[in-house]
Amino acid sequence: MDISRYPFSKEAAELVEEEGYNLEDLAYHPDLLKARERALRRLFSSIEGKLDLSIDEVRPMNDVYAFIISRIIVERIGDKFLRNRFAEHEVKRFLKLSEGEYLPNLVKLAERSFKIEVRILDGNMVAVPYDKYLELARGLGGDKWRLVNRDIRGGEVIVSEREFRRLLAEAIRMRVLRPSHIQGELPKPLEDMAQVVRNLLEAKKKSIPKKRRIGKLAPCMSELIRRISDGENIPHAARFALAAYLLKIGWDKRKVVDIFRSLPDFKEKIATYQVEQIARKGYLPPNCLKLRSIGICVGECGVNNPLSYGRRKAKK
Amino acid sequence: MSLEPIREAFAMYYKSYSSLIFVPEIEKREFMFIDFQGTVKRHMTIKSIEELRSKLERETPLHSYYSVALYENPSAKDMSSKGIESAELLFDIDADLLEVSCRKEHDHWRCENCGRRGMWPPPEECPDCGSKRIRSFKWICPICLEAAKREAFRLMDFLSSDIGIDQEHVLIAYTGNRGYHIRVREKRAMSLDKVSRREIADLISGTDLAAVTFVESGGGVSIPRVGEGGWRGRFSNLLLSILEGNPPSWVDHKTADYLRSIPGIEEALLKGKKLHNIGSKAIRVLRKLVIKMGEEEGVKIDVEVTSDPHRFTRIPNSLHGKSGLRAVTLTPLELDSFEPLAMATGLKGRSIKVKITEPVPEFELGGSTFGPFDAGIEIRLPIDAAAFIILKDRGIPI
Ligand code: SF4
Ligand SMILES: [Zn+2]
Ligand SMILES: [Zn+2]
Repeated sequence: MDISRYPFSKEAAELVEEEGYNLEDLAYHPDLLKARERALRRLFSSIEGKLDLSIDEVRPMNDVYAFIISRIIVERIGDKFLRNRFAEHEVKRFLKLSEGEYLPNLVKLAERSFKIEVRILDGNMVAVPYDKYLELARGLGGDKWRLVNRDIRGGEVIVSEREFRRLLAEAIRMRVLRPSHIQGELPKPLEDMAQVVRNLLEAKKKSIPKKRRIGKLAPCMSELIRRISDGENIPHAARFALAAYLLKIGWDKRKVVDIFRSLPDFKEKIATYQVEQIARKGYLPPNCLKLRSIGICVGECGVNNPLSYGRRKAKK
Repeated sequence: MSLEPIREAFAMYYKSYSSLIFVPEIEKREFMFIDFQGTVKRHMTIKSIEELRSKLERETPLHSYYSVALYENPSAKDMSSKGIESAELLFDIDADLLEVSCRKEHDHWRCENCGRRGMWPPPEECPDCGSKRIRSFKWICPICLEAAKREAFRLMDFLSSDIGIDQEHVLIAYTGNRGYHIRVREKRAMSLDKVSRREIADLISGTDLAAVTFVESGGGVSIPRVGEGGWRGRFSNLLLSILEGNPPSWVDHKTADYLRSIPGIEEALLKGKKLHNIGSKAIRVLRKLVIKMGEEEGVKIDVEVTSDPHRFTRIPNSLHGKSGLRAVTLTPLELDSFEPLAMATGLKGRSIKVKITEPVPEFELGGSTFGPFDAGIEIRLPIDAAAFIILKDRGIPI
């Protein structure tokens, strides 16, 4: 297994243990100078929404330590936006670097690193236990991930190799998002790195327009806005719902585009085009029933569509 | 109106049959009672079967439930501090959700304003006086209970084929009124959270089938293959049955004929080949069929119940306050030959006099036949039949 591609894996963790560097070493050891540099690069890329695909061919462990140091710094800073961005970065990195990976290797990765036991079927299909599937697929938007639309047999959901990698990527995301137990100050060099990252983070946040007052919005919609501004990557169905909603309640197209600015994969031109499409066609946001089924609903407002939420509140 | 004679009969039942009361893992459950005044008591913990039995005897609730969830601290007042450990996956099958023809025979409505009555379904407003105060009176009979039983079996088929849950992990209970509670006690299923439970509920009920994912266009049209599982598999089998000339009755002839004429559809089903040049009408017809299939063949469960790990189910062998019948735990084999109205009676004691307030159809209970009774008459009846009529709001004790 190529550990520089999969620094979150059990194999990587075992090698780290073998080499026996402690926190002080991570901060000071001259052999880890490169790893520290790479960690900074990784975090910068995360914040900027870029993808750092470089791997250290000479010493693969550098990538593992870079990952570990990045995580330590993310936890030290404790900022949601940063954590989400970093998770998104690792997800994208994995998806890219695992392309063409030998399927049995991925299966082993799932088993050893994430305790997900799967089977390979004919035609490079993978059978995933339904309970694990449901945990992983919930972060993925789109009807094709919903259980009701899947090939499911005797408790196993059948997915393609590509879909399997997508699910694994979600497992990585969940691991990165789970706060670890780093407490107190780090050794000086790491504290210094954290400060550099903090500065960049603040600058990035300033460049994203302040969100409007979102008090009167339907709770599911303000929740989406909050998630986006926390740097989370939300599914397309959710983006559509939010854009359609905001336009219908009278937001300016430019303001709507601004909301999406903190998405990790934000592209000005594409977002503008899509928002304009939705505005021109006058699409309505989906009904609550639909929103509930794709996991966007956050409350029981007693309305059928988030649009009526606003109206009802406004009448009072 | 005093339900005192009924309450006494309930009390006597709990006194004589308390040895039948049993709840597994009792100390981790939350209990809920509703008494004859309608007062709800929640967040109760009960430490032992003996305590539960004597509590039922002493308090004689109209309805008595326990949580399908196991909690660290069942008596905590809010959900988050109860500390849920796991919860049985619960399915509620209720004759109310099924289309049964017998409702027209035994359910009726009455206008609370002018007193006009009519058979089910109730109108929005009274045709005579226009009042919206319409009250419904429901009933149960062997036909709707049989439909509920059939649905329960269909549910178990789905559980096994799709989720891989065998019958040894399934508990079946007749609720004592209109249907069944099916609970899954398999480990993985018990640790599912709310979001996953909702997905399971939608799967079982065929809710929200996305036709575009079944009939995908783009470089030809692909449809599910025979051999796939879940609704995709059901769809390919459905198409195959249409090609073979024996579709289910809800598929109309025109649609069936049209589908048979789609070139290459058999290869697509059997070999997974794409359909080419079939035109947009074919895609439309296929997608419409997907949606219709979900509506027709989905198991009619209450999806809200399944999605919520904090739900309650009835204590086995406790009495249902809308019928006086017992909640009965059953194995699949027992379910097959189970006849609720004959076998779930439990009230014993002196007969009582009842004044009929709403028409009562002819019915069988515990092996005897009663009725029909017109509104207004007074009649002496055995306690179980009397309780049945009274608890269904069609009579009062005098
Ligand atoms: S009920 Fe409707 S408006 Fe309210 S949170 Fe849910 S989806 Fe949004
Ligand atoms: Zn009337
Ligand atoms: Zn009936």
